[in-house]
Amino acid sequence: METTQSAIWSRKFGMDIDISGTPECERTGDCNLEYFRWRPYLKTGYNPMYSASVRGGGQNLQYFVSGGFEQSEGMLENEHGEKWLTRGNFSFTPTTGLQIQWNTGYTHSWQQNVSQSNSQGYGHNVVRGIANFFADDRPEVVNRILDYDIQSWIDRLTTGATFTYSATSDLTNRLTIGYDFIQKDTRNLRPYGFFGGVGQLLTHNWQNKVLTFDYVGTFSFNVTAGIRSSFSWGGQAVGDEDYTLRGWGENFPGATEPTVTSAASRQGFEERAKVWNAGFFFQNIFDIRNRYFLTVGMRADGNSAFGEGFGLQVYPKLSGSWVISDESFWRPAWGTVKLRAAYGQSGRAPGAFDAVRTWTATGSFLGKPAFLPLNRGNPDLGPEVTAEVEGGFDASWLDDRLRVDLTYYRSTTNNALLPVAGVASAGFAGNQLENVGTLRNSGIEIAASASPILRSNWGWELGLNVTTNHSKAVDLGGRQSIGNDAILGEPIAVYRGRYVKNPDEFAAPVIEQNHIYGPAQPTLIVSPSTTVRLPAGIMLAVRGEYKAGHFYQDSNIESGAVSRSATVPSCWRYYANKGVNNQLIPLDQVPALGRARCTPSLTNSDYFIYPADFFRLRSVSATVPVEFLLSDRVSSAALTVSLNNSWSWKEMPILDPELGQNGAPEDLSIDSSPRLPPPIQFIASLRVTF
Amino acid sequence: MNSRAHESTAAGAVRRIRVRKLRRVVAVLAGTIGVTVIGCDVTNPGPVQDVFLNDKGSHEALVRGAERRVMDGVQRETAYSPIAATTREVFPGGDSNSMAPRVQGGALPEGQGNWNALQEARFIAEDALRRFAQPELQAEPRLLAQAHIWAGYALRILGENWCQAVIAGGPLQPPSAALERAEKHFSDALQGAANDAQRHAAYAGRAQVRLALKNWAGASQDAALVPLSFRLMVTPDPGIDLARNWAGYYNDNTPYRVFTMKHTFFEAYYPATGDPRVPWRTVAGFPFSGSRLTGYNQTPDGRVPWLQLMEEGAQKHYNPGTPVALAKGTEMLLIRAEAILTQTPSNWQQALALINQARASYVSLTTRKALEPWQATSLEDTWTRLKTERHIDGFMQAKRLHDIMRWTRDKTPGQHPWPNWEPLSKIFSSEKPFSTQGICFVVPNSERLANPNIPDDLVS
Repeated sequence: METTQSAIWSRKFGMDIDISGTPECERTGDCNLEYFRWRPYLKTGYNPMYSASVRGGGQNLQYFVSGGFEQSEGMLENEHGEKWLTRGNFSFTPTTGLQIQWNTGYTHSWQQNVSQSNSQGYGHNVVRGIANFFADDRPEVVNRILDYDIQSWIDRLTTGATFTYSATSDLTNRLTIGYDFIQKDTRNLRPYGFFGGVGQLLTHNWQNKVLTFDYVGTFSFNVTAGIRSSFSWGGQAVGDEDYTLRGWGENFPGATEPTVTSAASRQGFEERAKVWNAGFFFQNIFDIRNRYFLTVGMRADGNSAFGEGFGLQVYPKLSGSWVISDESFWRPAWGTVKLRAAYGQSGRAPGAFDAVRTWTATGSFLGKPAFLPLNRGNPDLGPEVTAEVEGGFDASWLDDRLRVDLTYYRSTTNNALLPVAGVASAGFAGNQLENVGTLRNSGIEIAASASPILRSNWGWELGLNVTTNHSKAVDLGGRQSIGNDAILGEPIAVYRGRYVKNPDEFAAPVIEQNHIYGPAQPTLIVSPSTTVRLPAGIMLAVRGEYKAGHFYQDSNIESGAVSRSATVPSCWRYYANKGVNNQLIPLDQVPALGRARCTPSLTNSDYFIYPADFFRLRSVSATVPVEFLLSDRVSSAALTVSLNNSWSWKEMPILDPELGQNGAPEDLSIDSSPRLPPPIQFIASLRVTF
Repeated sequence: MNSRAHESTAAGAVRRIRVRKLRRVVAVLAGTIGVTVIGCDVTNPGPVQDVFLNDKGSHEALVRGAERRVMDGVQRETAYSPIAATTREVFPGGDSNSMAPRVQGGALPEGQGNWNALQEARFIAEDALRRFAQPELQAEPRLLAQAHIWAGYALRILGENWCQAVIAGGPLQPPSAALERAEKHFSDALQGAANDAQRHAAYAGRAQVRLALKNWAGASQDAALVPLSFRLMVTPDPGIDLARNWAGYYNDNTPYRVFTMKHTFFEAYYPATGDPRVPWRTVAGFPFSGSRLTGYNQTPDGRVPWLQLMEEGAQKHYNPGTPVALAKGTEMLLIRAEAILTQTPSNWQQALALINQARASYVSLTTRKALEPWQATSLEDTWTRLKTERHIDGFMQAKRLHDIMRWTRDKTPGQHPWPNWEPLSKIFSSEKPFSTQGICFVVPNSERLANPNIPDDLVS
C-alpha cells in the first residue's frame, strides 16, 4: 500500500519590481511584479494519492492486482482533478509449452480547469493589468472568469493477451492481441450572463481505438559448433481509429445546467478517421561463440494512408556487437567492454487523408451546405524514411564501480514529410504533406555512473547523463524554407524573425528581417544525480537537469500586452511616472531594444525571443525505513519526502523556459495552469508492504 | 533395426518435422503478406473526395462555396475594420489583437486572409465551371451562370484592391488581368442568366469592372440596365465563427469595441442628416472603446469615446450577421454620374441629378423624408459631392480603397472626405498611409513564398 501527500506552489517568474504606492498596488494589493501580476490569483494546491496492490499465485497461475486514487489541485482556483486507476496482470500455463499472459488496466479521470482563452480567460486579463478586457484589474472583477466552467473526463481501457507457444525448445511462436480505448469528454460552458452573453456550450467527445495484432516466430538452431542462429519472422497489423463528435449550443436563458439540447441555436460536428498499418519482417541473429553477435533483417510495411501510386515500403537493418573484453588479448585491468554498431531504417506514415484530394462542407452557412477546398492531395505520397547509424560501447571498470555507456548516432530522414504551403491563387492555400527534403540529426548519449563508496551499510552513487542533439535541414526540395519549422541549413524547428541589430545603442532600432535566432529544442541536456545510502536503510538523493543551446519565444504575453498599451515588467525601467501608464521616458534614454519591445506601435513577439538555457534542481529526496513503527505483519515500510523543482537558474530575465501552452482537446496530459511555469512540489510518501 | 537404419529413420523424422515447420512458416508469412496488401485499403468518411463533386446533388453546394468565400473575402481586412480604419471610414479604438498598431496608424495590413478567400472563391467557381462543362453532368444553366457571377465578383474585388494580380498560380500581372477576366465571367453569365436577379447581378458587376478599366461607355451602359432597387448582398452567418461578419463581431461589445464612429466624417454627418446608411449611437455604461489608443490625447488615459455603428436603418447595431452589399442600384447611378463627369464634364448638372436621384431613394431617420439633395455650383463641386456620396453609399463594402486609389491616380477634381486625425495621436503621423507600392494591397508573402512563378521578394 502506498499513500502520497503533496503540495504545489508557484515559483517566481516576473521581475522584482516594487510598485508600492501606485494606484495598481492599491487596487490589486499586489505591490511587487515578481509573479507578473499573478500573485492575487495563486494558491497552494494539495494533491493526495492512495494506492494498493497485491501479487501472488503458484506455478500455473500468477497474478498482480492494483488500484489507486489521486486527487489534484492546481495553483489557481477552479483547478481540480480526480483519477481512479486499476490494473490486473494474470499469467497462466494451461499446458506444457503454452503460456498465456493477460494484462488489463482501466483509468478514469476528471479535471476542472480555469479558462485561459483570449478575452475571457485568466492569461491576458491578469498580465495586462488595467489594460485588460475588463479595463479593471481588481481581482474581484477579473475573477468573474471563474464562472467559465471547463471540465474534462477521460476513460482509458488497455487490455491485451499474449500467447506464447514453444512446441520444442528451438521453436517459439508468440501472438499478441492488444486493444487500447481512450475516450475524452470535454465541456466548456459559458453560462447565461457570462460577459453579458447569452450562454455558450461546447461539448467535445474524442475517442481513439487502437487494435494490434503482432505475431513473431523464432526458430533457433546451430549452424556449426560455434555459431547459433535465431531466425525470426512475423507480422503486425495496427488499426488506429479516431472519432470526434462536437456539439455547440448558444443562447440558453434559464438553463442553469444546460446541455447542447437546451440551447436555442445548435450545431454538431463529426469527424472519423481510420488508418491501418500492416507489415511483415524477417530477421536473423547470429551468435558466434557468445562473443560476436550479428543481426540482419528487413521489414515491409503497407499503410492505408499511402497514396494510390505508392506500394510497400521496405526497411532493412543490420547490427553487430563484440564483447571485446572476452578476447584473449584483453587484460582484466581494462575492464569489461562491449562494442556495438547498428544501421537501420524506419518510417513514418502520413495522416489518414493526406494523400487524397478532398473538400469540406465546413463552408456551410445560413443552414445550407457549401463546399470549400480542404486538401490538395498527392497520389504519390509515401512514408518518410529515416536511416540511422549508431555506434558505441558499454563498459565497466574497477569491479563494476565505474560504468559508462556511450552512443553516437546520426540519422538521416529522406523523403521527409513536411507541410508545404499551397499556392493560394491555385485554390488550395492550406499545407499539403509532401515527401520533400532531407533532414539530419546527430548527437551523443552518455550514461555514466560511479560508486565511490560501496559498503553494506554505506554507499555513495554518482550519476551523469549527457545528451547532445544537433539537427539540420540538409535539403528542402529546392526550397529555402518550409514554414518556420524547416529552413535550409538550419536546425529543425528554429526561431526566425525580426532582430534588433543595435540592442544597446541609444538610437532607433535597426531591424534585421528573418534573423535566425537558433533552435527551439535544447542541443545539450546534462542530468547529474547523486545518492547516499546511510545506515538503517536511509537514502538521500539529489537530481538536477541542465538544458542549453535553445531559445524560447514569448509569443504573446509581453508583446501582446505592450501592443494593447499595457505595462509589462521587462519595460519597467523605461516607463515614465513609475509605470502608472505606458508613457516612456524620453527616447534618447531608451536603447534600441527597449524601444522595439516597449513601444506599442513597434513591438513584436520576435523581440521577446530569449536564450532559454536553464538549470533546475529536479528532486531532493530522503527515504527512511519506518517498519519499526508499525506492527509485525508489516514486512517493510518506507517514508520518502522530496522537494521537486525547488531551485532554478535561468538565462531568461522573465517568464520561464518551461512555460506551458494550452493543450488541444485530444491532448491527454491535462496540465494544470498551462500558462504558469512548472510548480515547486513537496511530496511525502509512505509505502508499506505486508 | 541397426544403428545406421535407426539414424536414417531419425534423420527422416527430423526432416519431416522441419518440412512441417517450414510449411507453417510459409503459411503464416503468406497470411501476413496478404493482410499487409489487402488490409491497407481503407476509405474514410468525412472529407468529400474530389470525384464526388461531379454528382449533380453536389453542384449547388459547390457554387455556394464560391459565394461563401466571396463573402469572406469582401470583409476582414477589406470591408472590415483595419482597412476601414486605414481609409478613415471608422476610427481605431486601440485594440491591437484585431488591428495591429501600425494599421491603426494608417498602414495597410498584409491582407493575406482576403487574398486567400477571394482566390479560393475564384478557384471554386472556375472549378465548378470546368465540371459543369461536361455534358454528362447535366448541370443546371442557373448554376452555371451563378458560378460565373461569383468568379466575376471575386476577381473584381481582387483587381480593385490589390496592386498586382495572380491567376491560378501564374506570374504577377497588372490588376487589369483580374478585372478583364471578371468582365469575361460577367459577360458569360449574361449569356446564360436564368432570371432577372442574375442578369442584374451580372450587369452591376460588369459596370463596376468597366469603371475600374475606364471603359466609361460600357460601364454607363451596363449601370443603366440595373434597377434602382437592386441589391446584391452576401449574408454572413453569425452562428458560425468563420462565417460571421467580422466588423460586426468587433462592434458587438462582447467584449470587443474595436472601432468607433468618433472622429469620422459620419460623426457629424449622421446627426445632421439622419442618413439611414450610416447610423451610430452611444451605449449607456460603455462610454469608451475596449482598449487604449496609443498617444490618443483627447482623454487622460487614452481611451477613445465609443460611438457604436448601427446597421443600415438603425434597427440594431452592426453585428456578426449584418449583410454586406456587393452591388447596389444606387451605386449604378453614381457610376453613370462619374462617367459623365469624366467623359462630358460640361454636363456636370446631369451628373448631379443622378447623384441626387440615388440620394433621394433613402429616407432620413430623423426627418422621415427623402434625404436632402446635394447642392453644387461647379464641376469641381459636383466631383466632391460624388466622392462624398460614394463614401456614404459604399460604406463598409470594400469600395473606398479603390476609389481613393483611382481618384488619386487620375488626379480628379474635388475632395473626398478625409478627417484630420493627425492632431489626435502621433500614430497617425508615424505611419505612411497605405502600402509602399501604392493605395492597394501587395500580393501577400504567403503567395510569394509558395508560388514558384513569383520571385520571393518578401514585403515587410
